Amino acid sequence: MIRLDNINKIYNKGRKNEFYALIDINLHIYPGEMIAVTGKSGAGKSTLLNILACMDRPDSGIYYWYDQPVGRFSEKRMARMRNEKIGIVVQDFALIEDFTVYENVSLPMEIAGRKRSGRRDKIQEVLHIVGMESYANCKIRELSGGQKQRTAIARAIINEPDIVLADEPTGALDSDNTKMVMQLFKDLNESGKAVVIATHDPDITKQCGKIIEMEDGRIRQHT
Amino acid sequence: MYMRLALREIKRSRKLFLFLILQLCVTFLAAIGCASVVSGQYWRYDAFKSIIGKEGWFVNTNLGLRIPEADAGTGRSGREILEKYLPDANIICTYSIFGDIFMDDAVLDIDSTVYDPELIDIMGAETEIAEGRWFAKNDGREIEAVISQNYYGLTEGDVVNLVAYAGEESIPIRIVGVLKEDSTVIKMNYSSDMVGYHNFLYNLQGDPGTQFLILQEEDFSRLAAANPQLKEILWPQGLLFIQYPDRISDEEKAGYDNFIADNLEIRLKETLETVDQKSKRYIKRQLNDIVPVLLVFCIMIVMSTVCVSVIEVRQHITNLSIYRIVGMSRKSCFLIQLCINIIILCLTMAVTAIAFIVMQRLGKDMIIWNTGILQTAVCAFIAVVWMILVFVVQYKVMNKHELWRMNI
Repeated sequence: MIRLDNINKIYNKGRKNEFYALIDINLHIYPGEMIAVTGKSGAGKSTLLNILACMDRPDSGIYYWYDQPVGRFSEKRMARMRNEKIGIVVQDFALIEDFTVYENVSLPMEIAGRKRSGRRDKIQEVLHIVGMESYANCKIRELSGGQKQRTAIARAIINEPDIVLADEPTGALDSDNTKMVMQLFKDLNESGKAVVIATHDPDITKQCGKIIEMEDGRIRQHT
Repeated sequence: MYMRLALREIKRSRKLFLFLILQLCVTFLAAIGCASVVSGQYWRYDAFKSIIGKEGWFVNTNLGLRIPEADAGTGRSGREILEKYLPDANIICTYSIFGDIFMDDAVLDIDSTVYDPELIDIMGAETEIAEGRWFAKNDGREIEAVISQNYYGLTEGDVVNLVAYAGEESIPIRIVGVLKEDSTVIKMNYSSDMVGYHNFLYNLQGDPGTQFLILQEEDFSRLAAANPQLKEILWPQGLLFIQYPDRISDEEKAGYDNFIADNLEIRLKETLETVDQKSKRYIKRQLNDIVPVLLVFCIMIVMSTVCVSVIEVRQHITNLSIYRIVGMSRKSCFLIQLCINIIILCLTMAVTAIAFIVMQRLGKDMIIWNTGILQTAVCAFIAVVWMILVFVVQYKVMNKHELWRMNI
């Protein structure tokens, strides 16, 4: 599904504080895989996820999406990929505080141009999957951390993406909520979606089928 | 969708947006004021342009004409004498009346002036009427007049009588309108920068003791067929514009110049070209005094609103990041920002319009604001400059931010 060939990413290129965030990254991600990306802070986990999520472009190397080089995609097409093919979950939830749960989950469908009437059933279904159906009309600021993250997961999967990318998804959660969120990721994975989780937490790493350990921008070990 | 999301952002930071709108509103009002001053000055000059924009002379004949000996006792009117000696020139002037104005049996102490049609037209556009109307096309058998605020209590519909010094017949004059207290009339105004168009305008508010009766020469000419003395009792006095014909020989011109020098009791005399130049210089100086101050004021407020808009974009940059995460392109995020700016601008225009109307209603006579093409154009220009400035600054802020990555 995804292939990265010799991906390099350099921040502040040509300046004094030039920084190699990713160096010669080669990686395959197949449908149905559950991958943990681990490593210390600054190892390049988030940069790798940013590139996988089409939020950023590599400075060199080729990112293939089903054998199509993403480097040739326009900004608009990359945005459409994020909207339809890739679900993103981040540590700070990235939810709009003034919107309700329903409105937040509805946002990717709205951007995709789905009609209001066609959205309702799907949103109810996804909220049911993450156990948030009774909070549909609650504002985000009224929710706990776990509920926010479940809402973020619902939003990530509303357009039925092929892959879910999660950057430290349990970093702001207590242990009960961490378990609940991880269970959701496992359920998604079992339904055939690829899940990539960037994490420091060894307990989460253990729950993933494949582990990519990063250090100083390089993949140190694949297991 | 962009508009909806933009409205949401505005609702979320409504206090900041309100502040921004008020700032812009003040800018627009200042700009309208500035444009009103400019257009007001130019408009007045432009009204006189058809008179002073030609070759000839402006003469302030405070003592009137000195009749050439050969014309004494010929029964010619002052205008006819001028036309005899300046045959191809166009004469535009004000006249005094050889007669008294009576109300019942008492002579009124009133400054009565008769105007040629060109001057009546200029004044008609300038003066404001408190009661009744300005002069209209008059085919009747009465002379019409417009009067200033007066302690005789004369008002619209009242009739006074004109009795010539050399006659006993009483000629009725019907008052059709009463001027507002602060009206501006055409009368020599001895102020700075003599002589420009501004010296021909006289504001009655500065001279509350003077009572002013305005009459039009057309009425006298029309009724002169039945009553010839009506023409004879008008005598050019005050403002006299002598426009030379377009093609005039040097010899003819010298003859005209000599007649003017010998036969007019002159307090002031300038060529029309000089009057025109001095008028332009006067406008320029007026604008030099006012415009820079207002311009600096507008620039400062615009810069201030740009700063506030940076604060505003930083406040909702997180939401824009979220929109990008869920599938919006950078361009779409900028479009939301653009929509926000457009909504702010529209709201500002609405608030400005309301503020303008309220101010007009509350202090109509005190404010300098007017609406017009110039005012609209200036506001549009500020709006465009603001939009560009704000958007460029916001674009730079948004590009610098981690907006475009996941770790928001």
